[in-house]
Amino acid sequence: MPEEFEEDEFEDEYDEEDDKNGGQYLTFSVENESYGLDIIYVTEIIGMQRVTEVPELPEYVRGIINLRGKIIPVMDIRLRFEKPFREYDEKTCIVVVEIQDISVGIIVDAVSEVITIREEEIVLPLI
Amino acid sequence: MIKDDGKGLNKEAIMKKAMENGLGGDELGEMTDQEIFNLIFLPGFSTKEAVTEFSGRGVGMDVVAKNIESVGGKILIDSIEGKGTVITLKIPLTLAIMEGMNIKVGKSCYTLPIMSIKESFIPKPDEIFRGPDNNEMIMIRGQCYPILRLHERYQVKTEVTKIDEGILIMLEGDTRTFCLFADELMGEQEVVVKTLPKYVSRMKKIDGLAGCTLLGDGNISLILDVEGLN
Repeated sequence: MPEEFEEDEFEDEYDEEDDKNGGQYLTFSVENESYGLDIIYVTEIIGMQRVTEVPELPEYVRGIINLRGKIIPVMDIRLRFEKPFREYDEKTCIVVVEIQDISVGIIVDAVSEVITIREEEIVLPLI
Repeated sequence: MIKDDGKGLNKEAIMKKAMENGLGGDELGEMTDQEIFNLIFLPGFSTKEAVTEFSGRGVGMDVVAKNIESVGGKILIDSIEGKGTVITLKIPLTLAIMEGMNIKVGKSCYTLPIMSIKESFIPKPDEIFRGPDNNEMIMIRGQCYPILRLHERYQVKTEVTKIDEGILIMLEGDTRTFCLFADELMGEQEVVVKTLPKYVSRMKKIDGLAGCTLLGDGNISLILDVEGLN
């Protein structure tokens, strides 16, 4: 007789405690500053690869890349935040995010780690 | 997939009309629901009693089915009486393949639709002159054609700027014929057209770009639209 899996079994593994502890954020650095991005948006992180330039776009949109057959636009977060441009090196990564079915790659100086931040620890910007 | 929540297709009415048109009762009895629904694609088939401005002649569905089949696609109907109808159009992806000529400008690759290319040649510096608006033009066999330098139009960095170091490609658009100046021709290739990502097309409509394609080496080539470059 085949084992029957009950839906409850899987629900037990999802610990409600995880939510109370805080959301998980991917941290990356841009010019001595650390930024965090909710991992729910992050699809993948890849190393820097050849970017095909697309004309007539704002400077921070560097162009498009071929990610396993899918064409994804990439933007340089330094230029987007109006910081000086820095040459890409071996630590430079592209963080692919997906929001409302649109994928965009974000070029960052370096990726750090995934940390858990509790909601109480988040301070809203002063502006 | 086209759905509605209308009253659905009436099998009885369709079968009745089919019998009127000459289909035997036995065949109809053995038909599956799908086959009965597909009867509406027959030319001259309509269950409408009165002919209106838009429908009732039995022509519409036949035209749709023929057109879809001519491009190699399929049309499927499913319906539940009282609930609604779902029409599925299946169109093969091969429509998105085109014959292209790959060209290079600096480090960027572009692809031109072969249909638009009339000829290509290496110009001689003395064939070039400036027109009334101070734009470059070339005279070929008695006709004047304006020259469009792709590296200037799209701000692409390239070493090839002297007219005799590159190649001129004569392109025929709907409104006029012009010559495109590029570094070199890479070769003919059948390319699969992919649209530019939504993020880019939402941001700005770039004249002259019709999409992009993946080359064999994994690089991306931008597909040029001749009318848009004009």
